[in-house]
Amino acid sequence: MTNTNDNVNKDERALEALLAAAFRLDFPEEISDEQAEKFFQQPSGLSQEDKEAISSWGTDFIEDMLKNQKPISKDHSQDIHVDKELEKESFAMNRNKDDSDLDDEAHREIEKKRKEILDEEKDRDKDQSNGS
Amino acid sequence: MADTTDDLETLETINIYLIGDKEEIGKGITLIDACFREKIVGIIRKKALSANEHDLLDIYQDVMLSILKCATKNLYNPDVQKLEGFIYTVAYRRAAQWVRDKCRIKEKYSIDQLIESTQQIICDSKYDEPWQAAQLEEKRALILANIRRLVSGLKPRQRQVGEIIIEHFPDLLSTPDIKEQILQRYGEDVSTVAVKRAIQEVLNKVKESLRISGYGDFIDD
Repeated sequence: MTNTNDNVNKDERALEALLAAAFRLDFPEEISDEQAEKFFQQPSGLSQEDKEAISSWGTDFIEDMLKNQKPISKDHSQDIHVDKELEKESFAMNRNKDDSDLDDEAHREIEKKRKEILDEEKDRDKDQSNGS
Repeated sequence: MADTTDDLETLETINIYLIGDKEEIGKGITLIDACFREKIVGIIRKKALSANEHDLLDIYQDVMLSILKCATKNLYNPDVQKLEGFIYTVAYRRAAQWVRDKCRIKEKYSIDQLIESTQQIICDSKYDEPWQAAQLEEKRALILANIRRLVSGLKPRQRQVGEIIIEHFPDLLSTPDIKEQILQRYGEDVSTVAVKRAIQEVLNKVKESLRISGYGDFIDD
């Protein structure tokens, strides 16, 4: 039993060795011009999923990247959009909430906080547009 | 790319742009994106196996900005290096840097040590015979290219596991070690069964590469 397990382990290690050889030994950092030329003539080997992903990037990001000289994060811009939507929604929820049991001071406090948050948001938007 | 007159003209145009002023370099970068995006991501994918769609975009932009920087600083000379070789090296290095940052491990072994470990481990297994035969028949490169193609087309979890095994080789990682690595690197707590299954899928692709390269008879029980 031990021998069989040993053999299985040895064979699995050999497959790992071939895997490492393919990605670390046979795929070097620098190749000759001829090898590079050949490499670029071969299919990219990308999966359909990857091909779809890269075509969804479009081309505008390259222009933006060149203009800003830094990477454009599509993900990040989506996050900001989602955050703003959530904030709007939470304000709306507060306004729609039955607050008849709150006294004048509480109303003033809420209004003050709301104004502070809106001002902060305006400042942040202004900073972002100045920064871009 | 350069197998038609049009392709050669495109390469020439990109080269002219890359040695030009700021505006021309920008045009060169745009043209590289239009002509080589898939090839460049193909190089990135083979090095950064675990990269997701957003990571690929980040690395890709890193590559384009590196090309921009090299061209702006006159570090690219088309008389010394061909465009394809230059792009390949930049793409490889940026992807390798991403993997190093992700793994937070330093290269422990020299290339010679890696070659020696690889040979020793294969020699001690049932794969020694097909491997020796492949070398005699000059099919070594074909097998390894097939491994890269099949493994880089695996599902995200399987690619994560493949990358961990590759980057740590020749260190032996157990299933719990790989599970821990996934947790540390990606913050994902995966079940042991799922990790085992992913390891098996990766290794099956290596076997499949031997089979489709004509060495199935040696390995099928």
